[in-house]
Amino acid sequence: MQLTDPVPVVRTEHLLVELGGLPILREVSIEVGVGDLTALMGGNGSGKTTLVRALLGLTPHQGGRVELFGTELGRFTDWRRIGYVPQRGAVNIKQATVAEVVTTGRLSLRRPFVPLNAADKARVADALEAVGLSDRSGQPFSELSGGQQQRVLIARALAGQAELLILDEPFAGVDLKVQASLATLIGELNASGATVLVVLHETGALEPLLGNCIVLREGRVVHTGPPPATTERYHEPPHPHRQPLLAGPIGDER
Amino acid sequence: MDWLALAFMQRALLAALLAGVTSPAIGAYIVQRRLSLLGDGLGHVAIAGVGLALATGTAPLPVAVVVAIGGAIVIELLRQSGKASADVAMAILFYGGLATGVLLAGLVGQGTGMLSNYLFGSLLTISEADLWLIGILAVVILAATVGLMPQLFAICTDEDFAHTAGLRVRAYNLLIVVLAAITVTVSMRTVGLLMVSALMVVPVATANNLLTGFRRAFVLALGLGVVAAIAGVVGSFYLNAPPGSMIVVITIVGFVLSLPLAGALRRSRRPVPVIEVTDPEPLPHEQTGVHADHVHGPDCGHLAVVHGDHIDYVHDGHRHAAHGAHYDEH
Repeated sequence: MQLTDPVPVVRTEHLLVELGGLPILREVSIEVGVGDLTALMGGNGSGKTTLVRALLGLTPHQGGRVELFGTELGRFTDWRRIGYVPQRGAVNIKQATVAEVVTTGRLSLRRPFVPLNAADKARVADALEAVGLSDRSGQPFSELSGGQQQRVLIARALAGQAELLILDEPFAGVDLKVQASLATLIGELNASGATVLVVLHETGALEPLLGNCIVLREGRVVHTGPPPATTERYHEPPHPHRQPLLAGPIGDER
Repeated sequence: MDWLALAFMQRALLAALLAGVTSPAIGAYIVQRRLSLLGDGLGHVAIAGVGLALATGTAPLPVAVVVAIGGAIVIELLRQSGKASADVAMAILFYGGLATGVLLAGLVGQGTGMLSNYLFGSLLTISEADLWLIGILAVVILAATVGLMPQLFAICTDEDFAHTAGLRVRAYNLLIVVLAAITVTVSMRTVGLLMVSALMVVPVATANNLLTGFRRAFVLALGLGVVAAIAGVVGSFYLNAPPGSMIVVITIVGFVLSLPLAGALRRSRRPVPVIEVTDPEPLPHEQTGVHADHVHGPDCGHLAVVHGDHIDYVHDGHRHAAHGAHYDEH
């Protein structure tokens, strides 16, 4: 795979993101290769969600560079290759059926004023099938359980032709059993060829499937590589990766 | 029915039809975005346009269209700036628009009497030129709200996702407020600028109560809007009241009626079974009382829960699973 397509799906160089004048992400240089299943981890306020939003151009960056599929973010237009699954809590849909929500996943492939065609409908049905919610297509989105809403949002991302799936905390607010079934689904999608970047608070049910982990702390990358043995180590004091931070200019407030 | 022969009533009914169909069409998106009061603010801004037209002796409708569109663009740019002061700036814009309109009308001696035709609607003042402009604007609104439904729906439900689907979010957001501004002026003659927002929001809220799904509720809201607008015009002819007040009262009566109806519809809809992840540990056997004259089944009306290899039925806070001749508590 590396021989045919050596260009990473996601690449950042010295990324700097400031919100309200405060640097939230500093010197973030990461890569996500084709076909990888990568976790983006860190504690609360470490900048995980901000990084994902910066990758997608939802939050502007003040320095450095973001590339998607080898194209600089500002010039990237091939959005059909990206399937974004936002945090469930951030989506508040008042009046829509499950099928209507999933159908918006076809938008990157549709033109204005052109009605839905048979291929669109087939892909929507396939996407609902893949997340196991075919029998719910006519139900109101707002009446589903948290885990089911999460599946609908994944189906929406699948309804396009995404090669890269970006999931922001898919396990937030769903119980362990649902987490396990979502992890299985994410693993299957990755096995069938999709590159996956998933924001996680802890590895949890996805641990055995993760090829690569990027750990953020206070807006900086503190670990890249195989999953760390326990996530707790990134929140508790005795950890080797904390040394540079302790010695660095920002110090440690805890 | 002799009013059907009156030329001014024919014009009023046609204008009401167009207001009734366009207002909920853009209102559906505004409600989904939780911007229900946007139309009210735009109506206030358009009053400045009417005042300006009265003061300069030009036709009010075209001036109001231009002023309302200008106001809409300012409102959206303020909103997109995301500053805390934007909220106050919008309030100043809304009341500034209202005050400017009243002041300009007063300066040329027109007073609030003339202005009230535009604030609460009027059957008598719709000219043929007005009707042509209203017709053209209505076509624009319907073409955009129906033709761009997937795009506008995506923007209104999940702006971030719409961005990652490659939509030009800022441009579409601007389009929504500009369409709302045009709708306000289309409805100005029949519903009036102070009440147009009700015709944009209330039929949509009623339709949302009665139907599931954006598209189905959209179609119903347009129908409800037309019925309310036409009935309001006819009613105001007999009662000699401003049509805007009649139209709004009718839409609200419809909304109130929809509340108990929505509850009944929800109960009559057969609940879709919930599929639950089962615990590998079997539950202790706990037998329930006999169900006198009720057999649980797919059509019994109780919420079904797919529980491993069998189905539980929920009623009165219990989950009952058939076990031979009796039911078990699950």
